[in-house]
Amino acid sequence: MALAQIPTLTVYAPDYFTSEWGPGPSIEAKFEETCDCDLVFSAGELLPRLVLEGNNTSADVVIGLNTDITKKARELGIFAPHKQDNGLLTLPVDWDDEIFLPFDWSYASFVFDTTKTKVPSSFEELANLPDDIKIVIQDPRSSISGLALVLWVKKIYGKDAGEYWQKLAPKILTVTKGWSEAYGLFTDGEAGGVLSFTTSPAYHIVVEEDNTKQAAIFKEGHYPFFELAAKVKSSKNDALSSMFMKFILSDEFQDLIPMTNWSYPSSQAMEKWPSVFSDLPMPKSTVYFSENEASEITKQAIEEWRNALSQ
Amino acid sequence: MAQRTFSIVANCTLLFAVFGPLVVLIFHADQNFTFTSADRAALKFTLLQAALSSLLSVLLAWPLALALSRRQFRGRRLLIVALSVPFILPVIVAILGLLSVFGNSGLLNSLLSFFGFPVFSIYGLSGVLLAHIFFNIPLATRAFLLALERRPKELDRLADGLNLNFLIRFWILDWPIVRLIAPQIFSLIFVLCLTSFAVVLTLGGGPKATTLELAIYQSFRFELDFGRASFLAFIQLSIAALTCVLSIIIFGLPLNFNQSLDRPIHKRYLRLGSLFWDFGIIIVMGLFLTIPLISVLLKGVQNFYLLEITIWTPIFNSITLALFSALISTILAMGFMNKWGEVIGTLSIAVSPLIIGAGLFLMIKNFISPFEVTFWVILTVNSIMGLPFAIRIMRPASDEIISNFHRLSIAYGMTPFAWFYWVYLPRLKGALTYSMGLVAALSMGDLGVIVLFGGANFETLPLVIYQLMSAYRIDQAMASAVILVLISIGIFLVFDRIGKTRNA
Repeated sequence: MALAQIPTLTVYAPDYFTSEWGPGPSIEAKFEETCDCDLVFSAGELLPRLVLEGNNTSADVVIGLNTDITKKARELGIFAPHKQDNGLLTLPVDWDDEIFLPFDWSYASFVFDTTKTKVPSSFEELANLPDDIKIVIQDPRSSISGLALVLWVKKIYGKDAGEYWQKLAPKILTVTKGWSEAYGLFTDGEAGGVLSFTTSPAYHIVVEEDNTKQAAIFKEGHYPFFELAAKVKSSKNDALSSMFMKFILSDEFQDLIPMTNWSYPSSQAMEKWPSVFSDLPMPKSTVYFSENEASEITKQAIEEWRNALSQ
Repeated sequence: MAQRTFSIVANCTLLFAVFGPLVVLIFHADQNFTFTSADRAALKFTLLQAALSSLLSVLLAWPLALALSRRQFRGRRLLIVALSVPFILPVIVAILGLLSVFGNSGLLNSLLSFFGFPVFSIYGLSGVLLAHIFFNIPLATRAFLLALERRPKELDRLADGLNLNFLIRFWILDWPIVRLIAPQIFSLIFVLCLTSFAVVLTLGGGPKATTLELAIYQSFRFELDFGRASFLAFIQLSIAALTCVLSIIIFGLPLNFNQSLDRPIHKRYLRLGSLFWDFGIIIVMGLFLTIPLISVLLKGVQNFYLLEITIWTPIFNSITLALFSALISTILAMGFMNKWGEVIGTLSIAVSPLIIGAGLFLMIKNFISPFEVTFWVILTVNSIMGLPFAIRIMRPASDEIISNFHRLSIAYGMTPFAWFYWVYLPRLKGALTYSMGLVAALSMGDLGVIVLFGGANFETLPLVIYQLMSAYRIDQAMASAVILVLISIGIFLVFDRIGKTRNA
């Protein structure tokens, strides 16, 4: 053979991650500079695909999982410990997970068009916005960000969550299948606010030079949203996978995150963030369910949401 | 005889392609046959909206088709082609188009509030119906129109000569066509609405407007409960099957017009009143169907400068897929030119692409990794998804040709090949080319199974639009959607032109 055989690292990732507008291509280029390997992204649904493939999966690493389904993912028993130092992480919560390694994060938040409304500063103010200001949210049954909102409300209102949903119901213009539909309705001017992330305004500031999109900061605290990577147990490329996990926590990787994935880096002090991101208003406190708490409460929280909004 | 064998083989193959994945998936997972109260509520709403949507689409399409068949005017063909566009738009783009007219800050509400009237909200059952009508009227209209254009023109002349009144004219001339086409189209639209999910949720205004498809998606993606997902898919499939069978048994009677001499006529006597009525309908329905499209076009065109050179590859991929699926679907459909073929052919769109994709995956994974043959997987699924459309468009024409000419041809001692080439094919041409155009356009716009078997190495235009939306680039997504629309219209027009040339 004329060419030296270089090893391949197969990484499963969601479509938005591997697309030319996502972080995938620049991450691939950066990693291949040093790894002496070929990093191949394979795009599509992550967990369903891994379950279908079972032990025959060709994945070495999976990137782009969410915290809300980690329990299910963990129970599959197909992931290996990431063996990285969790102490390097700069997250708003203590992270001691040995399987899933966060590569970025953001807070769930409502983003508003400031030319249309004053931005509310609490859940109560949100429910009391003027009649003509409506918000769009995502369905917790089909969208991860929608689920984060339901858990967020549950954490703050506890057994009164259903009551709060009833109070909020008239403000909700509609519920969408996923984030992109909701955000499309918002930027199209159909709604004054949308469930998204505290980091979303950065896109408008950087790309569109538009400062009118602002994330509401609620005094009750915000629910964080982590995106994770994990090593696949059956991988034959253990050394290379470990190298990639290490790379995730490095500045080279973390530097790429804000401007391609529009979220905060997971292991980088705020001083190193682009100023657009460090200048964004930051929630004062974090409210969060652990994996086990979340899995116990999810079904009930979704039912409360569904009942309140079905009336 | 050969035709019959082909038909049986085709039916069995399709049964296998539709049920195979489902059965494999059911037995792959732990069986979970629970049906919760939330599922019951979803099922009820699903049936209600699907029944109303398809009924309204058919009812509204009839007068439009009749008006279009009676009138010749400049731009008629373009209007008819443009009518098929809503069908192929990516969901969110179509929703944004509708909302630009009927939304909170849409055209209608702006007008209302300008004149001091209270504004209205589209969200709710009315929004769901509006969207489904918007998507499906064009399909029903085209199907009616194809049948109307095949009706012997001598009959119209005769009716004019006898000075028949409106009711008798309807009973004698129109009812046989309605009776033949309406049930077929009703069941097709019913099944399409049955599996609708993103549109229903968004325009339905919340979880009250939940369909069974959402529960399938949730079980599959989030709960990884494939057993439950395929159980629910099976219920959905059974409802679809029942609807198709019922519509065929109760209503699906064959046409028995006497054969025509295939001679077009020129002008017909028509009163002024019916002239106003026809153009009234064409204008009102035309505006309803085209203003949202024009709004989408405007939004997209002003963002054309955002398009990147990299879009050529997905454009090329999508066109290739579209043309091949059109060809395969249409050829396959010839094996389904009977009522059972119609039922089985429809079932393929009653199962969500996720489930078909997952099942196919399990079936072939021991032989080859589907991710290395993405193109072939998508082509297969798209061709199967196009079948019910191709069958419904071509079957009425095919039945007529056979009943009018087959015995005569045998009497003349024509060989099967000569019959097929000289008699059957030329007369099927209009329906055939429309079927190819429609399936091609459908395949162009379909995101479907690629979401599961995704595309780091094979991207289609709808996938790119979806990726752009996920990356905040909504303006660029709208521009790409307009490219999608323009290409689809182009494909339609080309097939339309082919259908019009060289009539035997």
